[in-house]
Formats: sequence, structure tokens, C-alpha cells
Amino acid sequence: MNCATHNEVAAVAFCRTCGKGLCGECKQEWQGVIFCPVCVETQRTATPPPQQARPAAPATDAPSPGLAFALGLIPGVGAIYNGQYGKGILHVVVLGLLISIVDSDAAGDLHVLFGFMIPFWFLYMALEAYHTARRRLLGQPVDEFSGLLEMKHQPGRVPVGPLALIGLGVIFLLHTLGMLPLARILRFWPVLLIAAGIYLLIARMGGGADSETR
Amino acid sequence: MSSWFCGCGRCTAGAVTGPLLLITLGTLFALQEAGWYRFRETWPVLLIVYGLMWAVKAVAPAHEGR
Repeated sequence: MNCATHNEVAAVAFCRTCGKGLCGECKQEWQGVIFCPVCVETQRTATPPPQQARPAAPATDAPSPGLAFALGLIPGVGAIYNGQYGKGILHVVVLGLLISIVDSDAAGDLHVLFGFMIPFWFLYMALEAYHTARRRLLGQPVDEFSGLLEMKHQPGRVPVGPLALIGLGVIFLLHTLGMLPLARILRFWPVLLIAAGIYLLIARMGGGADSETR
Repeated sequence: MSSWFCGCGRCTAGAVTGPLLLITLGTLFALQEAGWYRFRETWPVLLIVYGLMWAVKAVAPAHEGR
């Protein structure tokens, strides 16, 4: 994609508000966020400059990402800590659904899959609360119903969320049409634990320098 | 954004997702009524369609050439 105003120059960034491609010349930054020259003006007039905003917010009001992560492990509480009550309810409802699917026999052969989703959902809630709190701390706008996947999506990157959903859909479709013995494959789930253990072992022993740089 | 639908690729993909899902749902139930495929066999198609629209929305250029 090329710059919206200089059509022959490749875009190096994208406006956060209107999504236009921007070359190095058109790129404008406002409170750590990239905008096009048009949108940066509306931002400047709409939001008060940081010199006024910072002292107005006392230190006790500043959201703590660490606390948000810890509270996020309690279903819904992490989102409520961020002031996102609707999202908090949604998190609890999804967890309730997952638990009742596993508890009943509704999932049939796939109960292992749903059982796996529960710990991942706990992790997701905590990480989501952490990232939302960090964005609030940095003064970036927070959208209540954009999840972690959409929040982290940057133009030019491979869209992981949609691809994962498509893959899941294909797997489920093959399963329901009886073309994939998913139940038999899922019986091998402990292999994942073993593989994760081996992966960590190799990473610790071989890539010591790699893990230290992170 | 002042308007929710502006005619650029991204907005079009977002605006078209809901109707497309309804059409898919209708088609799946029609297949069930016709007796070819039951809905319990075909429901993952909805996941695939939503995933595709999500991918298009993420990749499509926004406000191209304005």
C-alpha cells in the first residue's frame, strides 16, 4: 500500500483514526499515536494537551497493569477494574458456557477441546485486562468490545485471529461431516504437555542467550 | 469515524459481514429442510464465513486514495 497523498511512495505507517497509508513525510505523531495530518488536527483540538491532563489525574487513579492481570484471573473482575462492565459480564458468561459444556455431555467426544479452552480463557481474561490497563495508563483510547486480538492487529501483519477461526471452522466441519476422526486424535492431547516440556527443555539448554535477551 | 459505512474496503467488509452470516444461516437451514445436510453437521461453515470476513476486514485497505 502506498501513501494516500504521495501515491508513488510506499506507506511506512497508517493513520489510527482513518486508516490511510502514510509515508514518512505525512506521518504525524500525537501522544505516542500515529495519525494523518488531517486527523492529528482533530485529535489536537479534541483532546487536551498532556500538560493539562497529567496533573489532573492523581497517581492513585492511575491504572496498574499488574493489578489488572491479577484481578483478571478472577472471572470478570479484571474488566470491571478497567471500568468495562459489559465486557466483565461477557467474560463470566463465556466461562460459564465453557464450564457447563464440559460438565454436561453436550460436547460429546470433544470435551477435551472445551476442557482446554477453560485455562486458556482464564489466561486470556488476565492478559486482556493487563493490556487494557496498560493502554489506559498510556492514555490511549480503549474500546470496550475490541478484544486482545483486534487490539494487537497492525496493518501489514498476518491476521492471526481470523486464520485461527477459519482453521477451527475447517476442523469442526471435517469432524461433523465425519471426515476427520477428531475424537481419536484428541485422545493424544497429553502429547501437547510432553511437547511443551521438551520445547522448554531445549530452549533452556540450547538457547540460553536467547532467553536472556527477552 | 463519523460514518459507520464509508465505502472503503474495510468498512464494506464490516457492513457486509452480518447480512452474509444471515444468508449462510438461511442456506444451512434450507439444506437441512431439503434433507441433504443437517445443521448439526454444517454449523462450522458459520465460523469459516465469519473468519473469512474478519480476515478480509483486517487486510482490506481503508479509505483508499482519498
